[in-house]
Amino acid sequence: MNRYKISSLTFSLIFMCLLNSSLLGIIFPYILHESKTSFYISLGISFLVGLVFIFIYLKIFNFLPDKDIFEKIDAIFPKWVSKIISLILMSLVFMIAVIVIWRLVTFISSEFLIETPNLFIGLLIAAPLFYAMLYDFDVIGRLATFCLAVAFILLMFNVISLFSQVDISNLKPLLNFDLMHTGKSVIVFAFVVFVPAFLTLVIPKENISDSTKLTKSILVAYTLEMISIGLIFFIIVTVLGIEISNIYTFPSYVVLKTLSVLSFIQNTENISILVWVLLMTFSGSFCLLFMKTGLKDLFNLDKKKTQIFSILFIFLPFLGIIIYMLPYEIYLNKFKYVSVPTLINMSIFGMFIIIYLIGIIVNKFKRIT
Amino acid sequence: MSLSHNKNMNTKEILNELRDLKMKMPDLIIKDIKPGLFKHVYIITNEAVSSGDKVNDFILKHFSGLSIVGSNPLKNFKRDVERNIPSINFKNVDTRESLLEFLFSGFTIVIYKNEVIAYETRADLDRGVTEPTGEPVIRGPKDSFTENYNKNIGLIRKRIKSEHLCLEEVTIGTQSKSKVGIMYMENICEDAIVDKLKTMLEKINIDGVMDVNNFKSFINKENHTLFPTLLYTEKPDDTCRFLLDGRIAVTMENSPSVLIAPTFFVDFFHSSEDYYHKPFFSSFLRLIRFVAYFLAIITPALFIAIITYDQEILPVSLLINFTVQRSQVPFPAIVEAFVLMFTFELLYEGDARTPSIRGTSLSILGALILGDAAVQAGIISPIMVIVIAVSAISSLVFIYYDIQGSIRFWRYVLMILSALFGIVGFMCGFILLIINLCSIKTFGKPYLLPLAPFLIKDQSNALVRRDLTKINKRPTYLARKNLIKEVNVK
Amino acid sequence: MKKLILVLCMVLMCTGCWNYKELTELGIVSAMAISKKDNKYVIDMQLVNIVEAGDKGVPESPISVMSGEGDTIADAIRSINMKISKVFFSSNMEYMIIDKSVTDESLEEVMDFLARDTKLSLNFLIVTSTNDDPKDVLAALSQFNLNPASNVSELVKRSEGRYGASTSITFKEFLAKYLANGVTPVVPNIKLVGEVSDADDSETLKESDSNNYVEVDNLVAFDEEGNVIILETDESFGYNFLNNHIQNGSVTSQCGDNYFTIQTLKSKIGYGDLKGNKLKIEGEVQGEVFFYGCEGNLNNEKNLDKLAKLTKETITNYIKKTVNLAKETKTDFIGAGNYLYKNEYGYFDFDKKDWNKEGLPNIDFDIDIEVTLLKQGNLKGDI
Repeated sequence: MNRYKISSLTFSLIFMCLLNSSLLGIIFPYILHESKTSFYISLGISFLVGLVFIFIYLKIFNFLPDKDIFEKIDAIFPKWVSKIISLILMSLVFMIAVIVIWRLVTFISSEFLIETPNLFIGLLIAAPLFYAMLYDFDVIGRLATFCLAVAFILLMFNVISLFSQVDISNLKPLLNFDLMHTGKSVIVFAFVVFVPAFLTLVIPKENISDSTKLTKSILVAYTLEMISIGLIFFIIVTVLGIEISNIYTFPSYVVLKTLSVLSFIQNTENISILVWVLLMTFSGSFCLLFMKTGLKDLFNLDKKKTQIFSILFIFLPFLGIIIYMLPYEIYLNKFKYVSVPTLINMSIFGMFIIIYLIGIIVNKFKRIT
Repeated sequence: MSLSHNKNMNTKEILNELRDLKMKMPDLIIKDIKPGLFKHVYIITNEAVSSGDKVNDFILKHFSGLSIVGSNPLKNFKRDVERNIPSINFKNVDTRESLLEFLFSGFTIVIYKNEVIAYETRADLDRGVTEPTGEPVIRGPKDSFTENYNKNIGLIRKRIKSEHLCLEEVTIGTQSKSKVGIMYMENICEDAIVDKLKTMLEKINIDGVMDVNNFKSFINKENHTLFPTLLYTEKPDDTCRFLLDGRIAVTMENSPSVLIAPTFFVDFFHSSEDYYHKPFFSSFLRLIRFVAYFLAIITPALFIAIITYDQEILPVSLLINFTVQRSQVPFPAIVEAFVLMFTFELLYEGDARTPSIRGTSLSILGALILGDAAVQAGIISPIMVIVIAVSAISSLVFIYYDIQGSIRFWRYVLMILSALFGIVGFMCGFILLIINLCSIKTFGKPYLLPLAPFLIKDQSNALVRRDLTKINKRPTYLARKNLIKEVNVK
Repeated sequence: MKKLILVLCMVLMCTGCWNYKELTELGIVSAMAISKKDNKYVIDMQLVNIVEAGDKGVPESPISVMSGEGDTIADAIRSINMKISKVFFSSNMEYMIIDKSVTDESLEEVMDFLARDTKLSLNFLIVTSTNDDPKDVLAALSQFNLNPASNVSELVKRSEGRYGASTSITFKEFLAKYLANGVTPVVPNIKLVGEVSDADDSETLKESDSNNYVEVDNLVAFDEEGNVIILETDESFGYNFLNNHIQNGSVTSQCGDNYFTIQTLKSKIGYGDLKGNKLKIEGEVQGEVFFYGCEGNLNNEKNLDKLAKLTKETITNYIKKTVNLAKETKTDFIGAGNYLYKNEYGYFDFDKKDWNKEGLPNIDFDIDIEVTLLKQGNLKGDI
C-alpha cells in the first residue's frame, strides 16, 4: 500500500488549492461576461450546488476507505474493463493538466515575456512540474501549505491596498439577470471549479491520520475558498467597472495594475502574479501525480520502475503536447477555452458517479474486500 | 600484530612482541619488578599518553612496597591487586588486540604469570574547559566541550541529573578505534530513532574518524540535499536542551563538538540565548533571522530581474538614477553580479583562514577593492555593491557554517534563472527551492516540521516564542512518549 | 533526476534571452499627445533626457519631444523609432493629451490602442488642450519642477482638491465612462500662458518674474460628433459638486455688494428618486467661513443662516447651469443617464434608443441642497 500519512488539515489544504486551478483566464472572464453585474447570484447558487457536490464526494470517499480510486475500480469491475476505465480516467485528467498549463503559459507570454517563444516558457514551467512529480503525496501536501500561505498574504495585501478605489455603485444594476445566462454560468462554474478537487480521491482514506475531523475541515476549506473567490470578483467589478472587465481576457491581472500605494509602490502586479503561478503549477503537478499513481496501480510496478515509466509515458507526452499546442493561442470562438474544460470535467464527474453507483450495486451482491 | 583471540595469554610471547614493538616506538616503557625471587611483574605503559605521576604514585609504589622475601608470594595476584591498589578503573584484558587498545588509550598494563590487567592512568592531553570559540555568547553559560570524552559526558551529566539519561558506546574506525557515545533520555526519546542511528553508526567501515562531523555523510543518506540535516554544537547547555526535547546527542573522543539528531529546518534559526531573553524580543530576533535567510537568497536575483526585465516596478526617479549609474558599466547586470559575488566569496574565505594578526590588512584591502576603487574604475556600479552587500551581510547572520552551502547554491541558481526569464524565472526557481525543502526527510520525519505539516500545538516555539510558562509541552513530533514537562516520570 | 534538471538548464542557457532590456536602452516616455492632421495620426512623445553622471548641475533641458506620423497610431510610433535608438518604455507615463481632432469617430480607435497595450498602466491622466498645439504644451518647461510632466499632472490633481474648478480623470475612469451607458467623459483643459516660443527655453525660466507657465483652465466635454463643449467656471463648479470631487473647495457668494467665501469641509451630493420625469438632486454641504466681507455680526445666528442660504443659492445656481448646458448641447456629461441605468433599470432602453437625444431632454431636475456652517473657528465672530 501507499506508505505516506498526511493529516486531515493538510488534506483540506490540498483540496482548497485544487479548487483554484482553473480560475485565471477561464472562470473570471466567462462569469463576468455571462452574468455581468449579477455574478453574486451565480456565485450564491454555485455555493449551494457545491455543497451537493461535496456530499457526493464524501460518499465516494468513504466507500471502501482503504483503497484509492484506481484500486476501487480494480475491485469493482472485472479485470480488463477496469484497466480500460482507468486509462480513460487518466487520459481525461491528462487533458485537464494540459489545459491548465496551457492557460498559464499563454498568460505569461501575453503579459510578461512577450518576445520569448512559447516553447521556452513551456520548458521553464515544466521544470517544477517534473520535480514535484517525482515525489509522493506528502510532499505535495507540504507544498500546498506553503502555496496557500503565500496566496493568503498576497491576497490580503492586494485587497487592502485596492480598498480605497472601490466604488460600490459599479455593482449596480443589481438585478438584470435572466435564467439562461445565470444557468450557464452556474453550470460552468460548478464543473470547472469543483471537479478538480475531486481528484483528491486518489488518496485513500486510510492514509489520513485523524479522519474524524475530515468532514469539518473540508467544509471549512470550501467555505473559505468560496469567500475568497467572491472577494476577488467583488474587487474586480467594483474597482474596474463591469464594462472594462468585459473587454479584457485576464481581468484579475488588469485590476492589479491600478494598485498604487503611497505613490511609490506601483505596478507591482508582476510580483502578485506569483499566486497564480504557484497554484496552477500545483494543480498541474497534482494531475501528473494522479496519473503516476494510476500507472503504478494498473501495472503493479515497484518504485524505481514507476519513476522511469512515469517520465517516459506521462511527462514526455505531456511536454510534447504542450509544445505543440502552445503557439495556438487564438481560438475562433471567443469562449472555446471554456466549453472544452467544462465538457471534460463533466465526463470525469459522470465517471465518478457511475463508478460509485455500480460499486454499491456490486457490493450488495458480493462483499468487496 | 596478528589478530589473536587466544584466551591463553602467554606472558613470554606478549613480552617478545612488545619488545619488537619498542624498536618503532621509543615511548613504550617496559618495567620489570621483582617482588620476589623468580617472580616477575611487568609494568608496561606508553609514556606519551599516560601520566607518569599516576603510574609512580599508585602502581609502582605498591609493587615496590611488597617485600622481597616471603610473606604472601602473590598467591592470588588479581585479588591482591584489586584490594590494595587504589584505582577505580581496572579492567581485565583477554585478547592481544584489546591490550594494545588499552595501551594506546593511556592505561598501564600489569602482567604477572599469565594474567593481564589494565589500570587507567590517563594523561590530560587537552586544553581544559574554555569559552566556545565558534558560537559566541552574551548571556548564559560560557563553557564548551573539549577533546576529552569523559569531561564532555561530565558536562552533560552535571546538567541533567536524571537516571533516565542513557549512554551507549560504539567503537568506530579500524585504525583509530575512536569511542563514540550516544546519549538520549530513554523516557522521552523514541526508540525507533535510537535504533536507526545505532545501526547506521555500526555500519561505518572506515580507517579513522577524526571528528564527529565526519559522520554527517554516513548518517541520513535518505536525501541528496544541500540543506543541513544534522546540527553540531559546542555548548553543553544547548545539548541538554536538545536532549530534554527528545533528541539524541552523539559525542566522540577527541572531538569538541557534539552532533544532534534529528534536526529540522526551524532549529537552525533558534539559538540558546532565545530562552534567556524576554519572549517578545526573542520572537523579534527569530523573525529577523528568517527574513535574513530569504533576503540572502533572493536579493541579487530579484534585483537583476527588476532592472533587466520588469523595470516598471521602480519609480521614475529611481529608474533615472540607476540608468545613470549603469551607463558607465560595460557588462550586463548578471556578469557584474557574478564578479562581485565571487569577490565576496574570496574575501569571506580568506577572512576565515587568516590568523587575527593579518586580519586588519585584509579588511583594508577588501574595503579598498570593493569600495571606491572598483566603482571609479568603471567595473561595477554602486547599486550592485549595495545589493550584493545586503545579501552577504544577511548570510553572515548564520554562524552555522552548513547553512552557507545551501544559501550559496540557491543564490546562484536563482540569479541565473532570473537573468534568463525575469520575474517568471525567479518564481520558478523559488518554486524549485520550496519543493526541494518539502521533500527532505530526516529520520523518517519531514524536514519542515512544524511549519509544513502545520501543527498548531507546536507553533508556540517554532517561528515565534511564547512565554516559557506557557510552553509546557515538549514538541509533539519528537516526544510522543512523554509530552508534559512537569510530570515526574518514574 | 537531478541530472535531467541540469541538462534542461543547460539547454535553456544556450539559447539567449529575448525580453532582456538594459536600463540604458530605455527611452522613458513621460507624456504623449495624439492628434490628427489631414487624416493621418500625429504622435508627439516627451522623453526624459538621461544625463550622464559627470556633468554637474541642472541639465540644459530635461526632456526632448519627438513627433511622428502615420496612417495608424502604430505606424506613427514606429516612425519615431526611426529617429531614436531607444526602446519606448511607457509604463510610467504621467499624462496624455487627446486633441480635439481625434474626438470624433477616431476616439474609438485611440481607446482600442491604449487598452490593448499590456505595458501601459491605467493610472495616467487624460487632458486636452483646446487653444494650443499639443507639441508646444509637451515642450513647455517649468520652473517649479525639474520634470515638466509631473508638474502638469500634479497641477491637475491639486487643482481638483483645492480650488474646485477643475478635475482630474485617469485613463481607467475615462474608458469606463466612455463605454458606459448614459455618460460621456469630461477632461481638464490646459493652456500655455505667455509667449509660446519662450515656453521651451530654459533661459527665460531662470528669470524670477518670467510669466511662461502651464495653466489649468476649466473643463471640456466632447459630444458625439467631436465638437468641443466648454464648461465655464460656474459650470465646472457645478460638475464637480455633482460628482463629489470637491474636497476643500472655496465657494464665493455675494451678499449685497460685498463678498464672502465659504470653504467646504464635506460635500455629498447625488441623485435621488425619479418621480415620473422629475429626477431629484439632493445632498448636503458643510463648510466654514473663510473670508468674511459682509456687514452684520457673525455672533448673531440670523446672519449665519443668511450666509448659509446665500451659499445654497450659489451652489444651486452652479448645478442648474451645468444641467442646462447638458440639456442644451444634448450631451449627458453629468451622469444622469448612468444613474438611471443603474438604479431604475426599466426606465429607458439604453440598447436600442439613444439617451442623449431621446432621454435627456425629457428629464427635469429638482435641486434641493442643504448647506450648514459647521465650525466656529478661531475668531468668535468677526472683527
